Parts: sequence; structure tokens; C-alpha cells
Amino acid sequence: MMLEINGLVKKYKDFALNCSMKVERGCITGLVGENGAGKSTSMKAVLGLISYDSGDIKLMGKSPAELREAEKEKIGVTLAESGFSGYLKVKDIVPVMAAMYPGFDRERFLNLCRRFNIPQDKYIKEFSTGMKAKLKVLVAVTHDADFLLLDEPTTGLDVTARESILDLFREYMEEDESRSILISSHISSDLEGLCDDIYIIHEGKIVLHEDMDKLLNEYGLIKADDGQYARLDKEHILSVRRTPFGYECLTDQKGYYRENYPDIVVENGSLDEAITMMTGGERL
Amino acid sequence: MKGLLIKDIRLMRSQGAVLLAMLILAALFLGVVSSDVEPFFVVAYITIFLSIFVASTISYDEYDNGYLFLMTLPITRKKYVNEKYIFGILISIFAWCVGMAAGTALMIAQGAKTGAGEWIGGNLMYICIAWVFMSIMMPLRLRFDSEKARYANIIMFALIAAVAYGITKISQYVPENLLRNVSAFFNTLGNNGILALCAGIAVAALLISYICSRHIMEKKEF
Repeated sequence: MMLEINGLVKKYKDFALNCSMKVERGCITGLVGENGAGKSTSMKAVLGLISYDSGDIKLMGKSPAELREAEKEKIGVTLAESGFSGYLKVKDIVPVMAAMYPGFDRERFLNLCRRFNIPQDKYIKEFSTGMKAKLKVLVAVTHDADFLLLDEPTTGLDVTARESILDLFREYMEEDESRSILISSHISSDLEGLCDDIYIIHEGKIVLHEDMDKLLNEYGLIKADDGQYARLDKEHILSVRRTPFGYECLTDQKGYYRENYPDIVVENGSLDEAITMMTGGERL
Repeated sequence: MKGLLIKDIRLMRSQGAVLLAMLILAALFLGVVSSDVEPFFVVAYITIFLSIFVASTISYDEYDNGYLFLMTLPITRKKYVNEKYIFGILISIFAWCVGMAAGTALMIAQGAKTGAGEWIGGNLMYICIAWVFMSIMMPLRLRFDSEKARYANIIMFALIAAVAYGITKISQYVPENLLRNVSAFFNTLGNNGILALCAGIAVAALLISYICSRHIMEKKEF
């Protein structure tokens, strides 16, 4: 197991996080939820940047308080709102990285900077949002980390740049089967094509954990009017939402409903639907 | 640690170079234009100002939430504090050397006749003063964000000024014989003794400051 969070509780004045999750070796795990749902707080707790009230976190077998240089060398991190100081340039970062990470591949980093049009002799504070996002990812993937912890790594990137960055993550995983990634994103399509499993977090709680393949192949959205809804078997319904035309129901067994209720519309599931229904609907 | 030092040197090189050039120019200009300016002042000015700038590298770390990311790098909170103090001491020594070079140049230009021992010894005192300033600013800067730290600094320096003023006022009411004893004590110490005493105070201040900073950093939430 790369990361295991059991019953993590962190209380703020107006928010409480209560979260359990796992990231297996060799897997890319996604974490989605709206702003303020607790994604960044969970990641900060894992990295030992904030204290927490109770629960147990093990990252590569160590608690956050036990993370020393040796463990941190093996972790690559991108954070949504933080990176290297804006008063540094890329050419300043290179020797810093080389001194900090024994596995830092200077040549690869510089090549990737050229490929992604990251200027070396410009202050980071003068970078565009997209350039900053790309730089953060390049820093994370070029020092031979075993685990990437990526908080919104594709925010601010255009479609082409996003695809290239996602390809970098795929390459990273192909290089070593025991590596893992925990990634959070607002962009569902990024996660659908990348993740092995997904956690949906809402108001500090995990409301759904599912394999991505199962979610895409077996989840469905049932659209029923009042009469159809009344006679619907609720056994495999996860969440229900009232609409002007009747009800929308999220199911994890669309085949069952398609077979038994041929008159009811059952659309294929998607991550977006799952998020909308699990965070906005009434859970059964 | 090495990585952090490289980072701070790079930050200082880009941001501090202009400050250093300004300090040297201003000091020499003052010295040449107004012959009242002692070469000693030039050394003190450059050493103390540049040392104070060390604490502001914390602001550069903090800029745009940078702390958060910095702490995900392979460093510990303890190592971060260690590095800041080591960097501070190195910079104060570097600043002192630059100040000495500028001061010596000015002294030669002014044709002042100060003995080498007195010149070096007297100026060593400024490193001690720079360390005391650094000792005060470092934990304040770690404890408060840049805006609050500015106020905290002003309050701190106002307090020091008030205490110094208070002491001079109170000393008028201190019995004559006690003052005589104190001044006799300093006389027996001699110049070297006083320098050693100042060095002792500066090192003690650094130690206390370091312990406070370690404690502040351990408790910090990012």
C-alpha cells in the first residue's frame, strides 16, 4: 500500500474533514469534489503540513510526523496554490533540485522545459498560470519519485497542454509498475481517462469510492417520471434527485434496470453524473 | 540543507545585489561628501542592513503561499530553521567583509589614522550587533506573516529604543558609587574583554532566538 488514511479527522471553525482512503501501489487514484470539499486539506495532512485531530495516516509506511528527507525524496508534489518562490527563475531551481533530490534528472528536466516552452531566465512570478502549472508538474516527475501527490495539476492549462501533461503521468507510471499517483482535479474528463479508481469527497466526507472502469461501464443515470419512479426497485439506486420532469437516479447496475424496465430511460454513467448525483442528490 | 542554502543565495543574489550596491554607494558617497562620516559607520551600516535583509528571505519563501510547497521538499522544519540561521551568520560575515573593504577604502581616502587592531576590533562589534538584530527578527518573521511582522518589528525597535532611553534616564538616579563600580568593571575588561562580552551576548541571543524559532516552526500550520 502506498497511502492509507483511516478515519482522518480535522476540525476547523466552520468545516470538519472526516476521511478514509487508500492508494494502492501501481495505481492512479483520483480525488474529486467541489472547492472547499476537503481535497487540499487531506493532502496537506498526508504531507504533515497541518496537524489533525484524530485518525491514522500511513504514507509509504510512515506517519506524516515520521516523514524525513529520505521519504520526502521519494514523493513528488504539486499544490494548487503553491510552488517555488516567484522570485526564482528556472535556472535557479535546477541546482536546488539537484542538491535536494539524488534522483533528479537534470537533462530530462531541461528537455521537458524546452518541450513545454518554459523559459529558463524569467522570474516565476512573471509566468502565466499555464506555465506555472507545467513547471510544477515537471519538477514533480523528474526526480525519480515513487509517489506523486498532485493537487489540481492541470488547472489553467489549455486542452493540448493538458493532454501532454496527462501523457507525462502515463509515462511516469509505465517507467515503474510500483509507482502510484493521487490526483485531484476539477476536470472530470482528465480523471476518466487516467485513473484506476476514484474517490468523491463532499463537505469533508468521502461519498463514493469506485473503480473507474466500473463507474464508466456499470453506472447509469435513470430518468423516470413520478409513476415510473414509484414502481422502481430502489435496491441498486445510490442517489436520487428531483427534477422538473420527475426523478434522476444514479445506479451502479444500469444493466439490471435496462433489462427489467425497458420503458425507462437509462443513460450511460459518467464521472460528471456521479459527482453531480453524489454531491447534489439525496443518497439512499 | 545544501539545496535551501543554494535557494537563499540565489534569492539574495538577485534581490540583495541591488541593495548591497546601493548600501556601498550610499555609504561611500556620504563618506566622501561629508567627512563627518566615520569609516566605522560605513562598516556598521552595511553589516547591519544586509544582515537584517536575511530575515526578509523568509518573505520570499512565503510569497504566493510558497511555504506550503517548500515544506513538501525533502527538508524538515528543523533543517529549515537551521539553514536560516547558518545562512544569516554567513551573510553577516560576508556583509562585514564587504563593509570592511568599503570602510578601509574610505579610511585611506580620508587619511584617517586608526590602528589596525582598533579598526578590526571595533568593527567586529558590528557583527555582534547584527546578530542581535537577526536574533530578534528571525523568530518574529517566522511567527507572523510579512504584514504583521512589519508591525511587530516596529514595536520591537520602539521597545528597544524606549528601554535604552529608560536606562539612560534611570542611570541619573543610580547611586554614584554603583556607577563608578560598573565603569571600573568595564575598564578592567579592556577593549578585548568588552568585545568578548559583546560576542558572548550576541551568541546567547542567537541561541535563545534559535530555540524560539525551532519551537515556532514546529507548531506552524501551513
